[in-house]
Amino acid sequence: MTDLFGSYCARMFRHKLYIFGLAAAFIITYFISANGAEILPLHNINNDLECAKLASLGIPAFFSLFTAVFLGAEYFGGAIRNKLICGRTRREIYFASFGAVALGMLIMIAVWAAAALLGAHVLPDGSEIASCIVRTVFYDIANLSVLVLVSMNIEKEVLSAAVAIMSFQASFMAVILMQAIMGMTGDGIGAVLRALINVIPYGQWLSMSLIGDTSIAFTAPVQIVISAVSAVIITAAGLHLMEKKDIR
Amino acid sequence: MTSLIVMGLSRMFRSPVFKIGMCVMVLYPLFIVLVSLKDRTPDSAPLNGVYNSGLVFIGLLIGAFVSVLIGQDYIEKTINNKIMAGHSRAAIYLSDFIVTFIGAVIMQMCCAVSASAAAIPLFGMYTTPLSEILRTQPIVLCVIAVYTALALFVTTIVNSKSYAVAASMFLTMAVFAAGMMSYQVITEDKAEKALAEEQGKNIEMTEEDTLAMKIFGVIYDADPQSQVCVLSEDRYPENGTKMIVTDIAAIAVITSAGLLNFCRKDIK
Repeated sequence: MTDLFGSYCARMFRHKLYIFGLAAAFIITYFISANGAEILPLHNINNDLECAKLASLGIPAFFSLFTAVFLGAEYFGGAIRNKLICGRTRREIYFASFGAVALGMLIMIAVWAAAALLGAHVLPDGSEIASCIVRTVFYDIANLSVLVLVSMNIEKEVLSAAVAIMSFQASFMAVILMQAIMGMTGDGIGAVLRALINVIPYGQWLSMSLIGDTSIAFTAPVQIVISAVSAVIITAAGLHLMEKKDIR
Repeated sequence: MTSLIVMGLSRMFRSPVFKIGMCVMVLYPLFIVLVSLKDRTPDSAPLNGVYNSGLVFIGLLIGAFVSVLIGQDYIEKTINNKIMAGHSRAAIYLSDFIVTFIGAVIMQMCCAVSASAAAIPLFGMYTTPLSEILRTQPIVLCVIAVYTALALFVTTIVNSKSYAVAASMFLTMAVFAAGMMSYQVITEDKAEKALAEEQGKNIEMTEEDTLAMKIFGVIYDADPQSQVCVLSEDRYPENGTKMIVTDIAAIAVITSAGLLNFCRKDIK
């Protein structure tokens, strides 16, 4: 599987969209981290990392397109069929592609964190920064598992891109709505909505961002465990679907 | 062009993305009614404005459904067949615009019907006068047309259709976010000014703040999403005519630019 993973990584590091994404992640995060306190129409900014957290939404947004384009090319070019003919198992292909895109995402998170720390004038204490980065890694990986599931199971590249981006838009809108509804409902429904917000990756992002209500967030270890468990379950489901798929 | 429109409509009604959009637009107002049911008392006020609730994210749905539907035309080479069949490029582009616009209007109508079917029996007839509801409909149509023109334009100019889908969906999302933000900023500013006037105070603004407010003001007037927010106040907006004129101008400019690009495009 190592050579498959290596070939995916080599292809990804040469992908123009990925290089553009890394550059954009650095520039946008640095700008927002350095100037966010002045330009954002928000009154609850305590430090510049909070502005950078807003910019971190760009990472899953970018990967909702990149994963579909990068992994969709496997079907479009018939590469996936060739790999199967060469004796690779579907499990190997799935894990190698997931691993490569996950590595790409970790690099982008590292770029984001570096830009945030370089651009910030006021920073919170070290433990808060570490907690923020670890949580970002885990919920982004959970979200990536959904994107890989979509990209490896929908052969049409356009449809795969549309579904992946719609999943981003729909879950983002859903958590914003759920947060708004929580204020109007009682304890029972409120508890269910709170749990849902903490399960959805964008809900975790919202719960620690400036535009969200931080009181709805579960503690960092709980959120990390939820993200890890959902990543495992979604990956298992994606693999199961792919193994049953008729690849043409 | 009629044959193109009829054929486009029949394809659109079979499209899964259109069906998903319809489901969302039908289910969302039902969800709102369901949430409101919890606090319902015998003398609860009717759910005014719930018939327009789906408008909040119709832009995002249009971005997805237009780009997938039209993108599929390019991938399956249907567009080449249309040109070979002797249809002019202008007719193809305009028929695509009309078809997708009709699709979006149908989505909005389904939202209004499902909202009314649930809200009126449970909460009573809307107290907003029918004339007021009808007066806002041209703005609703204009908002839908602007989003449709924008999505169609992006899908046409970007060659790779995966990127076109992404560009169209992210652009509509950016328009959505800018509209929501400008509405919030302008509404807060108006409230602040009204309060200051009541208290006889004078608000002094720096040059930078004045410039920022001017920019937000332009976005507030031109962005279809801020118009949707204004419509959610459930009355005919003060600057309703200005909104319609801005929207028509935007549709004309975007459609002309898209048409110009499409007529010069090398379709392979």
